[in-house]
Amino acid sequence: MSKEEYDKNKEALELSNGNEPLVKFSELTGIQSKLTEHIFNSCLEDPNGISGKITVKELSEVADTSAPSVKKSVLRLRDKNILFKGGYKDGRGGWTQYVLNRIIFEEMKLNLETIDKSSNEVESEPAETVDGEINTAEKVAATADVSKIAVKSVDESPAKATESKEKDNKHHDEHDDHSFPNWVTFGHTDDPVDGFIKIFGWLVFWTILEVLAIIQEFESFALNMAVLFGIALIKCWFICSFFMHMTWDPPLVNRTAAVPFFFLAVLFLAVGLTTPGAVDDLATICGF
Amino acid sequence: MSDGHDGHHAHIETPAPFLFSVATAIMFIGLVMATAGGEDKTGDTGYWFVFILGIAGMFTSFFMWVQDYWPQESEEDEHIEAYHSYWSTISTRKFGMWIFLLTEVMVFSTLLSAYLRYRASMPDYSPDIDCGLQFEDCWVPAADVIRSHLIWGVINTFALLLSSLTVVLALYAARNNNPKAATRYLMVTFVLGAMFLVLKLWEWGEMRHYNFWDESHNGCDVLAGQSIADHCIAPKYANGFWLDTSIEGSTFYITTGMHGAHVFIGLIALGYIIAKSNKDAYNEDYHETIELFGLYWHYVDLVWVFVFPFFYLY
Repeated sequence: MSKEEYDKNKEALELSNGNEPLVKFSELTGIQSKLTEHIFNSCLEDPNGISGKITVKELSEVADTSAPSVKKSVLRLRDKNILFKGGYKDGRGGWTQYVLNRIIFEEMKLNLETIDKSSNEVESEPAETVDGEINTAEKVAATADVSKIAVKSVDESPAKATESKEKDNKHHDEHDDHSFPNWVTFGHTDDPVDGFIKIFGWLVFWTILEVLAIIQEFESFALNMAVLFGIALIKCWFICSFFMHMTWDPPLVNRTAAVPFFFLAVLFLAVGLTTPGAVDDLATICGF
Repeated sequence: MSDGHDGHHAHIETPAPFLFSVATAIMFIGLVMATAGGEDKTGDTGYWFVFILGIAGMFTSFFMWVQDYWPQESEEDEHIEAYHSYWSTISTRKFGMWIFLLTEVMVFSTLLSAYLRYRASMPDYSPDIDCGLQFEDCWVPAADVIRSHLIWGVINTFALLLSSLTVVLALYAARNNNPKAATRYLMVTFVLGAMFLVLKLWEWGEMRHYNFWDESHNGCDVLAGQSIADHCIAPKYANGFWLDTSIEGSTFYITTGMHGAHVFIGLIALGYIIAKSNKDAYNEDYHETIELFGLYWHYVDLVWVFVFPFFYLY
């Protein structure tokens, strides 16, 4: 590693020595665990413990998940003082160098040596005779498994641990999944584009219905309102759910979007649809 | 959001958004004072200078803003990501866009509820009630003015709905590493948005100058007892239907004008995104900008879903 490159990572190295990790490596699960292992392997190859230039795509492949999920997991690891960011290049083709927290690094290294020892003593070592040595990644994976099982056996049953992992994976699957209700797409479709075109079809259908309904010129104000608001709300549901992705977004989006409903109710019911005297009456009641 | 872990980055610290807000405020102050300021409230022409100053500031800060992002290969940057696990289920930019959209919901809700409030304060025109000689005591909606040429409003509605679809297709093309297709879909969106605005302006012109009907108004004489439902025109609109013609005109032009302004601003943003997409900036890893623009564009579409029935149909 050149001096210039070392300097770029100097701050991260200092941070990695001076900060306590908030959790142990053995307490990590899912994507965070996989990413840490991968970065550890990379750090092992450098005498200073600085990883190589790692891309988001590379991490996505290792953790078998999307780039946004990787980015979030890396941020969480940094938040837990497990990872420190060194040199980087932004944008497309960008990369980042990382430094693991020294304590975490030592913990993982120790686990690796334990595995080495036990594999030398106990196993028949067919892999070693073929390859000369066990693949580092496999060793770390084994370390992670051993240490995690130990932790899980204290905290929770293995079944529960598996369940939580599955839940974690399901969350990511749901986020990337774009399955439409069958009734919306007239049968099952795996192609999201096909699904979205059908959503557009629904919107056209409701618009035509809306125009035809109003051309009837209903006498009743209530009926007109019911038709107009009703169809507008149905179209609104189609746009929000599918075009705006709310069906597949995490709950945070739906909860955030629900905030103005209170104000909308006040505006439309208390101001928009009331009789003109309502405001004056309110003033009278309040003694203005 | 500044990043305590890694120091700061110039593009995050740009003062451009702040300057843009200040310039916008100056522009509006200038506009209001120039048109309705002064002692007699008829406008103080000296304030046009303030208005132009605001516009100049908006342009300057806007280009400062673009200049900060343009050299980057992507607008996405993990430095601005949220740190708390709950908030990080979506990116900070996406969360920010949703908050922005919520404020926009309030803007249009105010306009629509004001419209409903005004409308509820007057009886709708009917031959059975006394509406005054000019029908000034009754509500004669914009929908009656538009009715015979409703087809243009319907075409505009389809254009916006279709443009929402093309934004989604652009996002999927980018996600599938097909930036060329993404650019094409974005361009179609632009064309549809521009078409919407052109049709809208034409429609406004026709309504303002009362050109939707021929000289004889299709031979219809509303004062002789023929119904507005037969596309006769109310006497109060005999010289056209504009902002200051009546409260119907004010609510119609302010609401549709505000919506049109949102479409216009969307087109400016879209122009930037198309230019970036044309240099293959959006792909499997970086496509959130298109997604965020899509949210805004769908929202504009959503507003139209409510504006169209209330101003064009009823």
